[in-house]
Amino acid sequence: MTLQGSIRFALRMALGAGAVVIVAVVAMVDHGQRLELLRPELVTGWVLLASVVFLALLNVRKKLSMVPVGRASDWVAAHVVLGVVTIVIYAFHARTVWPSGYELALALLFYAVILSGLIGYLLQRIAPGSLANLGYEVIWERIPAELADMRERIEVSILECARETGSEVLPRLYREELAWYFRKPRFVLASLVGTGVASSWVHHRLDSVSIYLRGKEIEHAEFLRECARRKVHIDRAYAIQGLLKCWLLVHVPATYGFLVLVIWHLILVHVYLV
Amino acid sequence: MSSIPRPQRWDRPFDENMGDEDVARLLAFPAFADIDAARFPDQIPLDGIVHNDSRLLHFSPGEVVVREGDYGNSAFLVLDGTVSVVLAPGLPASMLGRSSSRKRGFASAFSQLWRNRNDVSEVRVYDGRSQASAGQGAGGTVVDIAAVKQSNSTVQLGTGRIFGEIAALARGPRTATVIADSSATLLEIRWQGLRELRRFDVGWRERIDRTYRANALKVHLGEDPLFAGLPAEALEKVAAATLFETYGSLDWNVQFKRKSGSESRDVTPIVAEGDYPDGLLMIRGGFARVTRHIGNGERSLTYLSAGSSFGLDELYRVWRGESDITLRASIAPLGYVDVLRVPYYILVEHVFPNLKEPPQDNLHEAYERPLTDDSLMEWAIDERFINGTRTMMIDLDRCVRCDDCVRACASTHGGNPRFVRQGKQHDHWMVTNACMHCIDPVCMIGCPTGAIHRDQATGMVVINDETCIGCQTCANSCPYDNIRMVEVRNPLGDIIADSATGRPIIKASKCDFCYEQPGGPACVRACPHDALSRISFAELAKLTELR
Repeated sequence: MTLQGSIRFALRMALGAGAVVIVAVVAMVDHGQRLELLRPELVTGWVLLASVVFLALLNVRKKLSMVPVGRASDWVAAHVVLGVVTIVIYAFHARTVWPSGYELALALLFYAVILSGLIGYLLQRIAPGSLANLGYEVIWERIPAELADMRERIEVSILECARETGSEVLPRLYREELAWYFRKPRFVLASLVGTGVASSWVHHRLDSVSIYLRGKEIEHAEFLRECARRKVHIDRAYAIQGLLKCWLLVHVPATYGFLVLVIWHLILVHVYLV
Repeated sequence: MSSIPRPQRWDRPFDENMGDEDVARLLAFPAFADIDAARFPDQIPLDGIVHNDSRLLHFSPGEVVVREGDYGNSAFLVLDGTVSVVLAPGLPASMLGRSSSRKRGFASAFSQLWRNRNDVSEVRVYDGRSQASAGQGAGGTVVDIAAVKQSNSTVQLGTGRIFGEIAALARGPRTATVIADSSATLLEIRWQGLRELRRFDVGWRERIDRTYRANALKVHLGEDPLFAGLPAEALEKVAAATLFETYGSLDWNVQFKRKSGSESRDVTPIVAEGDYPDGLLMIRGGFARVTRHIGNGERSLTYLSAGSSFGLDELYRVWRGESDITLRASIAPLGYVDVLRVPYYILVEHVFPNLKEPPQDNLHEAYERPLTDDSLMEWAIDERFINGTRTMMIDLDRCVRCDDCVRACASTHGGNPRFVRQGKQHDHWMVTNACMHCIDPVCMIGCPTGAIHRDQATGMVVINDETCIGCQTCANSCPYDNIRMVEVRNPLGDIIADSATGRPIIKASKCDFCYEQPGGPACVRACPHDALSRISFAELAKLTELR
């Protein structure tokens, strides 16, 4: 292992150890204060707030790529470890799974953040491998352009087929059925699971009309099959990459919503309860 | 739309103060007087080259002209006075006052947060700032010349001698420090001019090549551990007997771009498996593939680059008295390769008796590796990715396609990313279309203005936007398609156009490895999953470690 690798390994170990220390200290303070009939919620609440603010700083780090504020991967490691710590501190603080009143909204947002975070973490571990195994790499933002390009080439082929053979079979099949399929990503859920529904759908339709095809038409139909095979890859890439982006659409807004309610919670606690 | 005159070669001469009288005086100098000016094309006349691609430099005694290790794209002709070349092991870095690249401060880097234009791409303001030259003197460092000569071996060069051509021609670092002995006047010729002189004048071509070969040979032998301990006299003998061979072409990229990876394997080997060894082959520059016959093909066991050698083990075994020893592998040039062939009898006389241990046999180990273990290396060799020193590799098994790397690149380059997250793939590895800062940056070959050059201190291949004339030569030369041409705009978002034709002004754009940014390449730091790394293929093992 290189020196840099060793330092980073030590850093990760220190993160784990730090997490255990935080949890242990919070548990001790909580227990001690309860024995003395004090209000440990104040301590755990402020620790919880500090943790959540630190977790939210990851998004700020992403905006500060131009300055050396540590590697994003180290921040993510800290984010994950502290995220787990936050669940434990929350449990000490809330002492209930299902609070009442506005605190229920606070709890629901917290659960949304935690759950989306866990799902995101798992997705980030599983999905990249699936994308790599596709053997077809496409940038998410370019998928519409890829499809437009494919459609254009198919339509040129279909027109050429009609001109060359005078047959209406492939043009009709394309207009009635296949144009829908090639217009945008389809069978997204099926693509995600990898059931092969999309592939069957296209090939079934091409097989259905194959008895009407002769000579050059068969070549054009083969080109359609080839495009369909590529489209299956694009759809799967779209589905997986979409999923990798979707969970953030819950995680980040829920975090900000949670922080807003936390401020409201702080005001209420310090005005009415303390 | 705003307009400016389309930039041209020689819009900004190397030396703004070079006058017609200077040019006339230089053309009368013996080195130029013999040149047949009629051989030069009308658009690149000899006096134009002298006027625009060279500059006069005056040095005081003890002043450093070039520093060993600095990257430079120019050669020097001694017009008056003498200079001394400090031979290996050279001067300590502290004495040379090494230059450092101009790093941004933290505040300056941070201010990009609000200075970057995300609404307008490729914004430029051309206010006539002076150009950064391709190769400059070493910045006024002065050393005690008497002390240097006392503690180091030096070679004195007088009027009419050329030096610095090794770095200029090989697109590499300076191989020795040169210090002015007395008050000296030198003509610095940037490499674009040197290239034209070589191209259109046979005398200059022979002269430069001869100097290049002689100097390169001595420098290289002196640095090799096998010969480093030899006395000067013995080293002279080794140098005299060593053959300097070049295979392939320096502008190999042209042919490579036309061929596919597998086609590039069809080359005649320098030495073939089964041949009797006649000398040690030392690689001075370029690359060579080491292969061994297997089945119906050739299996790459490894590749050789500058500093590697081939055949020592076999020659040693011959010397030990083993019979019927032949080469166990072939070596073939990859693009181009400079080879030094040290004859067997020289090794017998000067090397083998001094060897404390037999040479290591790495080929056997390589051959015993499982066949599929080499696929990444085979691919990297076929695609010539071995040329890269900062190749951007993405582990697709880890990459979540978040494009944080691209955004980070944009945020450190005025809102414009300098690479595209796409490229050739092998297994789960992707080599993206980001500049690899090659060992042999062929993109520099055709640049007419020297806008694309190596940063003197870091060696990164960078583009001076102000002297780039948008000729696309670098983009077309890059074998990896890692340079893009972009249309530039003014701060209002209007395209800047050529005032004569109305056509947009275009500039070359590529990764500069964030050489001015504090903290190194932003793409690496921004990757949340450690999927992106900048590596040299010489460190293949590092890839495994990254997994």
